[in-house]
Amino acid sequence: MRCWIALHISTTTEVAPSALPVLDAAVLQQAAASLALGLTPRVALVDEAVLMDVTGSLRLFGGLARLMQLLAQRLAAFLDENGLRAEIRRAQGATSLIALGRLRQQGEGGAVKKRVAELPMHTLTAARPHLGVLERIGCRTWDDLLRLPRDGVARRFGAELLQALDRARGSAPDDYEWLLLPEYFEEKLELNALVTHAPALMAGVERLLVQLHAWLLGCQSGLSALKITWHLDKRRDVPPTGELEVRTAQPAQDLRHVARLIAEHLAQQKLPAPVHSLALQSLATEPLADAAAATGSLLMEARKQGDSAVELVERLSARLGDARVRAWRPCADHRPELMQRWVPAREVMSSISAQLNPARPGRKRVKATSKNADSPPLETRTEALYPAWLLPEPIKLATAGNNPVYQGPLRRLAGPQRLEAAEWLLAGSEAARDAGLSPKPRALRDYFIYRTQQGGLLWVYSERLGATPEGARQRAWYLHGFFA
Amino acid sequence: MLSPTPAARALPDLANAHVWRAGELGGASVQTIATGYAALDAVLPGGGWPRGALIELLQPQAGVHEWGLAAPALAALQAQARELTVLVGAPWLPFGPALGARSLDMRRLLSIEAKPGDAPSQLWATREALQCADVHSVLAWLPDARSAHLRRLQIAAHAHHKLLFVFRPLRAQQESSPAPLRLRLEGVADEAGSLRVDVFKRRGPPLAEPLLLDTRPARLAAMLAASRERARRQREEAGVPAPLLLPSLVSLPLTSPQSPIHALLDRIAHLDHH
Repeated sequence: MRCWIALHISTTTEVAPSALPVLDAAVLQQAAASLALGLTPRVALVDEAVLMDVTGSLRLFGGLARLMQLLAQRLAAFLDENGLRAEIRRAQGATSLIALGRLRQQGEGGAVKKRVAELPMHTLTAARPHLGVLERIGCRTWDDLLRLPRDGVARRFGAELLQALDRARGSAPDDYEWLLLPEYFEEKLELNALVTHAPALMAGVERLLVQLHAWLLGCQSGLSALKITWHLDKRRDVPPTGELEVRTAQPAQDLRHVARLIAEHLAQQKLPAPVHSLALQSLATEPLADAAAATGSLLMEARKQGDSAVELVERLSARLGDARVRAWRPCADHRPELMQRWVPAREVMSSISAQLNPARPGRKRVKATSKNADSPPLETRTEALYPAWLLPEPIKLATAGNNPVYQGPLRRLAGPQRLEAAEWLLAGSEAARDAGLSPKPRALRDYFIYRTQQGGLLWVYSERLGATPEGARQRAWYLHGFFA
Repeated sequence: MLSPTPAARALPDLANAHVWRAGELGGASVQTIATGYAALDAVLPGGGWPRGALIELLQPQAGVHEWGLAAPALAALQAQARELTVLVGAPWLPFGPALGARSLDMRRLLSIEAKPGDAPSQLWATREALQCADVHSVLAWLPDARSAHLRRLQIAAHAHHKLLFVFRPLRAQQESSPAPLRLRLEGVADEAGSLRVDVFKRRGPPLAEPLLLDTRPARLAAMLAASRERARRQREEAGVPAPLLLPSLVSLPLTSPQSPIHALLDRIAHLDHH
């Protein structure tokens, strides 16, 4: 006994808010079919419906009722996430044509007949050309037609009707050309009107993203890179296309974050000519280990309030630029300006998320306590003597006599603290320069702590120009940091 | 109806837990995080920095007093949850080793800068950070923010329950602000403390007089005290007359060998030797 589900999805007739994207029926049907592929590999698009053979999947999903529920859940979640409204009808039967017949009958609003034989004639696609004749000879249900002699029916109506009847009864193989999803997503969209303003492309992109979302759900994978290409009006003397690549650190199936990223990038684009069509292409996808858990779990949704850190960094970087969203990295050096690097956060995203979600918290905790036991207490470490703010470039201070001046005269509180990076320390720098690291300049400095009249503490150093007396006389003073 | 009978007055404020009398310090229902300074905790409603509210700090110059005041609370938050601290529009680059010594985990710090003078982007970035689930605190330097902008930040901080410090110049004190807590910070050249804090807006009566806090790390304070002491001894040996010393210096408990600074110095010397 086989088990088929027929599915029909259509936009609702009720007035939808204008903000929601409106999709045509074919796109919706394709989307529903992609989603259905998440439940069974045997999915076919027949006329206006999606037919699924779920015989092989029943045990995996825990029975027909559970599977139907899951299908409804996924469809509802998909529509909800994309801000769509649609009406879904589904019917079930032992063969594909029975399921389809029931679905059609359901759509007419009639009470669903329990018996297959009582299904009306017009619910069979193969009978549609002959409906007038069949009506006049009194064949109103499938049963009526089955009672007629086979050879007469074949002569009068052709072999297709009989074949269809055999399929409906299950005496002929019920086979279709099964739907296969393309390996890469690529879809084009002709815009309704010429678009001259890049952010206005977003409406078109959103419609393409709905299709991409359905494709991702069908492939049970997440998107990590995509490309948008727009075709410009050929009459202008400009390159015919423009394109935009968007990448995300974590493969995403819910495309709301991707849509926001695209919107940020589009806001910075200038269109040299009006755009008449758009194309969207997936560049890289990754299979999600547990796609069902990633999309269907209610607990996950409840826990998450707001975006993740990865999404935050990507969105900020998209608008402000990579170099303006930075994370801290330590460096092994004893010159203050080389002790740390502020690197673009997008490049070190994986280590930031590892910081936030430690893989093995148990082991980590043990390690941290043992480390604390070894090292001296924080407040007595030498690092406590460094300023909390460091100037990226030391500021050369004006001098009054032999003393530095910053917003008024300064008062020396402590110092000198001597810092030298001379010959033997510079020996290793050749290799570092080859490796593309920062070259190490010579540093011979005496650091002092000065207090301003406003009460702030400054970290000021003087270059030791040389041991000669005239070198000492014309000392140069630099401001290198603030104690805050 | 209010009744003046003693029995009614003796009843605990169970029913009126949400009533705040103007003469008392409010904020019993506010969730707070300790500032790390007992004197400051005592004057703040709820006994610490409120979470889910805009804390406005006014100072004459950006980049002078931030970390001393905010670092203990940030470190406590970082110890509670593995979440990020976000800086928006910091005046300079934070120096990792120094903040590490204030027990901040620098790896969980993000620094966001907008183009100089690009106030809308700074506000946007601050709000985005407040809306992020993996962020527990935001420090924003917004010299050009207006009252309406701050209101949006206050709403975002409240909705997402984040610790939000906004640093602004002193001139903003005359402007109206939606922040429930506003402080003015001033550096002082006094050895008893380095920071004068005036809580000029809070849920409660006005503060009688500004607080004096010592926000410097203990080792730095000890080193400054030690070099002061050395300078004083040198002057004494050179026969410089005593009146040159500041009166505040004389009143310090430094001269007694039992003072905590001496103990700390001894401890540091001990550690350095081993």
